[in-house]
Amino acid sequence: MAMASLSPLARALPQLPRFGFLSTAIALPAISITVPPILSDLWESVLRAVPKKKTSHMKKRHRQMAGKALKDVQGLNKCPGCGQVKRAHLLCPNCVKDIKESWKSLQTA
Amino acid sequence: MAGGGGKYRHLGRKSSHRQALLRNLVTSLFENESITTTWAKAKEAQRLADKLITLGKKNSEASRRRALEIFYKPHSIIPKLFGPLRERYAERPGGYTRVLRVEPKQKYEFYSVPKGNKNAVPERKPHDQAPSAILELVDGPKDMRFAMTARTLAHQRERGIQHLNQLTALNVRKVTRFRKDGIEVLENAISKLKISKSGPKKAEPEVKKVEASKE
Repeated sequence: MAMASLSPLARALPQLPRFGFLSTAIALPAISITVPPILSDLWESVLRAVPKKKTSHMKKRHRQMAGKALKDVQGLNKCPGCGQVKRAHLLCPNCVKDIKESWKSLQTA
Repeated sequence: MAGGGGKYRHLGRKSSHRQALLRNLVTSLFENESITTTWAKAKEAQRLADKLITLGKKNSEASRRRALEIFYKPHSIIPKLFGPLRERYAERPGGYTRVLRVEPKQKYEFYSVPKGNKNAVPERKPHDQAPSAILELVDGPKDMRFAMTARTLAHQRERGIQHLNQLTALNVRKVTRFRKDGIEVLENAISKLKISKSGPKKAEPEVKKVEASKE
């Protein structure tokens, strides 16, 4: 912070020969605009674009999960064994359950 | 398949762990004729299971030793593999196992033990809805496609539909082709289904009467 407040000072004296004690000011990035020394206090608070508030967890999660909602299951067809609706390429859960139960009853009998 | 496209699924395990998992799965498969796991595990176990049946069909001393290395319960399974299973698949040129996709279990729970802490209580976790599958030995007593085809045909005949669609016809062919007296067995299964649907309560007292008359 001390170096940042020094930088406008250094720019206000551009004609001075560059000695060792000013070398820190020279190494600073050259993005900032020349501001008169009176405004140097305002420099910190006014001119930089920074978020005012921390993004809340809810906001962040909502943003990042956008477009990732569950999709509707479209691939459906009728089970040939019982006539109920089932997902395509998968066995019908009702029939599988029935068949497994019949095997169990066979084993116990 | 992580890391440069290996020729098998790594299943998120190191080699020894994966090997142990597959041995476990295959042991259960030969013990119970049918297992339900995740689809990826079923496909990997299928490779190993088919190779084991091939060993059984070779039926040599060397193949017996190779099979002995794989199973965790060799003394109960090896006689089965080199006896009934070898005979069952004698005519079939490969394709001894089948993987069928099923809905993942809704309320399946598993226990995860936190690593490093021996005294930790296992944590209950819900199922992750991973795609599941049934791995089964074809033409066995727990052949799901056979049972499903029988159910389909019974359902159709109840409605008086004689025409088989392409898929059902294919399934009938798959299920009966190498099975001993395949069509007969399928017809029996269908007629059994019809009986159990029409009146399971009526059938039970008759059985009891027969038992009583024997005494």
